[in-house]
Amino acid sequence: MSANALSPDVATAREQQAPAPTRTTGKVVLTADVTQKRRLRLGVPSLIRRAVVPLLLLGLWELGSTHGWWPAAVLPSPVTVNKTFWTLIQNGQLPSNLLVSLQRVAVGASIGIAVGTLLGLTSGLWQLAEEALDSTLQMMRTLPYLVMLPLFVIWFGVDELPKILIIVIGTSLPMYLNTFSGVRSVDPRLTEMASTFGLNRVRLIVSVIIPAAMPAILTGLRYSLGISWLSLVVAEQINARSGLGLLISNAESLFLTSVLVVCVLVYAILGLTTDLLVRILEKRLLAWRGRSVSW
Amino acid sequence: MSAVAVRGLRRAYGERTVIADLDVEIAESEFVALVGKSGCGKTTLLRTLAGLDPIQQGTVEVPAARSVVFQEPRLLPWRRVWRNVSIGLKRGEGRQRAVAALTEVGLSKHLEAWPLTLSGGEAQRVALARALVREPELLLLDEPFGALDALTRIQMHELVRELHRRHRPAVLLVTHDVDEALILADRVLVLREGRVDEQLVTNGLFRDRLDPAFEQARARILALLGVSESSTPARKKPLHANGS
Repeated sequence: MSANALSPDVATAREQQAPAPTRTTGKVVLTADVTQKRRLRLGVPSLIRRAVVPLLLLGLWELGSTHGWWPAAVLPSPVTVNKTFWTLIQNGQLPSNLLVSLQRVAVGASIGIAVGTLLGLTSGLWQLAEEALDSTLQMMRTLPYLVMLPLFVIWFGVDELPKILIIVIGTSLPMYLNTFSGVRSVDPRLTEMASTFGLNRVRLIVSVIIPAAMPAILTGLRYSLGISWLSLVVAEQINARSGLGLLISNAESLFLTSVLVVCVLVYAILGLTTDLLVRILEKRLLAWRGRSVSW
Repeated sequence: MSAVAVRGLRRAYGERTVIADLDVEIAESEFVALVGKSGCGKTTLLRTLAGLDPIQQGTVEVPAARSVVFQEPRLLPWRRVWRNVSIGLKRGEGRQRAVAALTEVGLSKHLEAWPLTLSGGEAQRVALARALVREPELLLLDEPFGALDALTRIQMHELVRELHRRHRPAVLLVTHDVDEALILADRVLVLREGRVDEQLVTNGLFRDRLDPAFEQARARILALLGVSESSTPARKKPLHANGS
């Protein structure tokens, strides 16, 4: 392929007298053709390249189902799942329960993200706040917080409160950690520059520290939103009278595998959607970083 | 009436004395260059004048209106170029003054650019515009051209000289580059172990590098700095005589 490839006999000769350093000789002509080869070969749009593997998996799934590689009760075919999906939408079960779950996440994540960001800023900016808060929050970080759920149930009952609380805790911790480290890693040369131009404390925070910490804050946001769905799934296992959790526990007791698969896919879509939202936010808020390198 | 008056300034980091009983005056509109080896206290003096370092002993009188250009541009990458220049200005007049300052440094086409898209020289010109936009009576330049390539540096020298001629602030330029000091300054101070070892009033005498007097002055300062150039008088002149 390449112009300076070694012929087989040269290669073996080289292996035989191994340690002797070899010198690469000959000429390589670099032209637009050579240097842009990589791009030309990957001339297919990125979206299509990305879709290849998921589509292959889907095809395999369909193929296996129709050929009876596994019983339909274990994993129904994509077509059946699709049918179930539309049935659940038409009879209103999916939209109404989804709405309930979305509300739980919206409330829990909003509180968690707000609290986490605020705490992160506070202890990032004030030594005293860090000393007061940081060790406790770091401790909570190492705790698998979902283990708190049974306790919450005993303390707060089985209604909305424990469910939302577990989401609040799950989302606030990554926000705290990332915001804190973002604020702490602001380039001191920039804050020094700002002080020579007479920025007061408030303007320093608004114009320098928060924008500088923004990449870290958005990373925290992405983690938080991801965790919010995880927390929801676990939280809805208790006393599910509504929400996606209800749909799941009903389907589980009735062995309705296709409903379960629909729920899994709905979670996947929800996760992807929130991720996409953060990406859009990053693109707008971090436009100054220029076009990120991606092929 | 002088712009800067430093009297009996002392500064020590633990045991090590960086500045020892220093007296420096800078007249209004005077361009003073401060040269010296690394660790001789020149950056400490500049930072003290900027109000960035505390004063342990002695008195320092400086104008309230002063600004700093650091070795790195220190632009805020999330603000467009003109918003970097207008930082700290009142909202209403900020844009107009930033545009004027950027036009002066030749960057009127880059008002809306993001700092990360600028070259090193352009970014440093933005930093100059940002310093000048508030009409300082004292401009502090901390090795502002140290990180630039030789060609860009020559252009920057021209620009700084022009800006100084037009705005007439007092300037303190800290540099390693003896040529730069001689070309730009009215007076060159050689700092050694926290004291002014020697000063050379140049008063614009050395604008021409080919002048034999320039060569002499340069050799003298280099000797004071402990650098002896092996005697080949007709050799090509390096642009940067004493890199850090």
